[in-house]
Amino acid sequence: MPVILVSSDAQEFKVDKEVAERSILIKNMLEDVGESDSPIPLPNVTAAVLTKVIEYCEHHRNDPVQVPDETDDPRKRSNDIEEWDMKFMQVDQEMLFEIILAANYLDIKPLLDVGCKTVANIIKGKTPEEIRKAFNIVNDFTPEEEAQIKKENEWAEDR
Amino acid sequence: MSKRAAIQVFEIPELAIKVLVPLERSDLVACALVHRAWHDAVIPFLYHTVTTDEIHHNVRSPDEFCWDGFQKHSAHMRVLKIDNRAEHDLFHYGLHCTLLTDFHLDISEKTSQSAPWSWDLLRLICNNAGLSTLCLTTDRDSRVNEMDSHLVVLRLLRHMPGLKKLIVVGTSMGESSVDEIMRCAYRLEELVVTMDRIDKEPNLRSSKPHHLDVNLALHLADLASNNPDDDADTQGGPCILDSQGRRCRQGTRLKRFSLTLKNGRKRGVLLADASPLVRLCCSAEYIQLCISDVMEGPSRRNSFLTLHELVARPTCRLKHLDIGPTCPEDYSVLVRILSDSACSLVSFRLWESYFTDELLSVLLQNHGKTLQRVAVGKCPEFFFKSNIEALLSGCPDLEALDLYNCDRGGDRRMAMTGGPKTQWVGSDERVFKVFVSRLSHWTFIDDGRSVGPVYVVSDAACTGQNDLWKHLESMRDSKFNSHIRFSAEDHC
Repeated sequence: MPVILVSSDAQEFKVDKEVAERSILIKNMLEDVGESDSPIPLPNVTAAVLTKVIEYCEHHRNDPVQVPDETDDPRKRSNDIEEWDMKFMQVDQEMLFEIILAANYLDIKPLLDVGCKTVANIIKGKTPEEIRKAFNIVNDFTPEEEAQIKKENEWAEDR
Repeated sequence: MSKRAAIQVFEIPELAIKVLVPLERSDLVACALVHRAWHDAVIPFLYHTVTTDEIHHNVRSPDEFCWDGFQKHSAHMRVLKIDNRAEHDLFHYGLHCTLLTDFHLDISEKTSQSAPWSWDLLRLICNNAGLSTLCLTTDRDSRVNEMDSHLVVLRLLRHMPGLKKLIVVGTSMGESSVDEIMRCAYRLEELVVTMDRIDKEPNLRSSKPHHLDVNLALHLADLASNNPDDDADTQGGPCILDSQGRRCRQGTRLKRFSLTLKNGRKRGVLLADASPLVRLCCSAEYIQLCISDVMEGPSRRNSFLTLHELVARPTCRLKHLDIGPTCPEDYSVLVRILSDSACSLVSFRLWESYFTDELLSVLLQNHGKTLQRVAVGKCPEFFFKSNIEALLSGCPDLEALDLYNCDRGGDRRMAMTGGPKTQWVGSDERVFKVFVSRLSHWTFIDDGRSVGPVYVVSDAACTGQNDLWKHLESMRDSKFNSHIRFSAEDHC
């Protein structure tokens, strides 16, 4: 049975229930409401982002439900992004962070993980200026503040 | 919009942490310089765990070093790992922490003959009443009971009401240190003691009152007056009788207990009275026991602590048993322990010891229904030929079976003769292991960490080899649905 999702900019998306239920938020909503044709409003997700999220959920519709693994060490696992996911995440930096926020809101843990790992991989080895450039962020520190932060955290710098 | 999203993500702590966890410290510093919102997310993470190893690696001249960060952000520090090289630096950063949960002190490095404990160090411990984990590592080459020379800090254990995990690693320990540990042990959830030996002899160094002791006594008096409950703890607290009629401290919380004595039987273990340890173990879910030098004669054994005494009467709480080198007379004790119907083991490991028919039989009979993980060292050849399937059949919920042989060559290297001389198998320089696991990943039974790397031998490497490999290979697609892996590790 299809489910209708409505983005923040009032665009409607018709998706299979099992696809929509990759989102724990939507799954819980459907369980609470029961059988209903009413569209589900997602006021925090724009149509552009929702399109991407649905694309991800479609591709992963048959994945087993992720079980939290005690041995899961994120430090060792930042590079183990599947090929399809890696290509999926090749979006502009705006969209990358929007997807992370949407995955967090919709409670889609695998998508959230992949998004955060992608951001971490972009950050690795870069200078602050390179990171700002990569993510289009404006520096809001004064030169004095920047110098002070550098000095305070000198101990953690790689020599 | 991009700016907002990139900032917003770092304003949600759970998301910021997800991004930051895989990063190196130098990357974290770079992130802290990107934007104020990023800075505010990164700093608590950056200062959460501080190790002096890292500081000493990165700081060439401590005298010229800027300690502002530690003083400014010490409220974020939760885990502090220092060694005695860092002692004089404590003034700069350690003293300001009050919210540490984990403190690791490694005083293995020999720097001077002076007393290893400074007043600053003691104050640091006293100021962090919320410590839940304390790890003390001492000089491993010392010929004296070096842990006793740090009694001053062990006495502080009484005044750490929140302490849940105590790890003590060193060369030797006298009864006075053991006594201090025992005083607090019933409040712990996990106790790990790894020593070469426990000595009975009084330690001259510790018997001399140190000037720090005097200062400390005053400080402790203050603490005790503020924490009347602690005083009750040190006095022993109420006792109850357990199911076997033994006196047992009420409210014993110990779940995991690990005692390793590397030269236990050779150099002299012993405690005049092992009963506090026995009492502790009566509530534990996980017990790991290892005394080396198992070849010592039985005549000497009588004067030493036999670790199996500790679990001679297992209780229903015991779920995980991990037994180290075992001498012949220990087998009967082990059989008795496994025969006890009081407990149902979930994991069993017998390492550097032979697995016998009798052990296998009693293990299957009494624990087969509950066992999920079994690890066996020094398997005799018959084990491979006839008993692997028996074990898998007898333990319907078995998730992992670890069979290994750590002998270097010789006739104990069973199932190797005529076997393949591959990169993994048959080389004297390697430890041989076989993992049979129903899980997609393997985890050790003792601490839950993954073993790795695991080298998976290709099918071709197994085909046409000796019986063992054929046998294991045939099980790959058997009804047991097992994942079979062959791996090897270099000798340490």
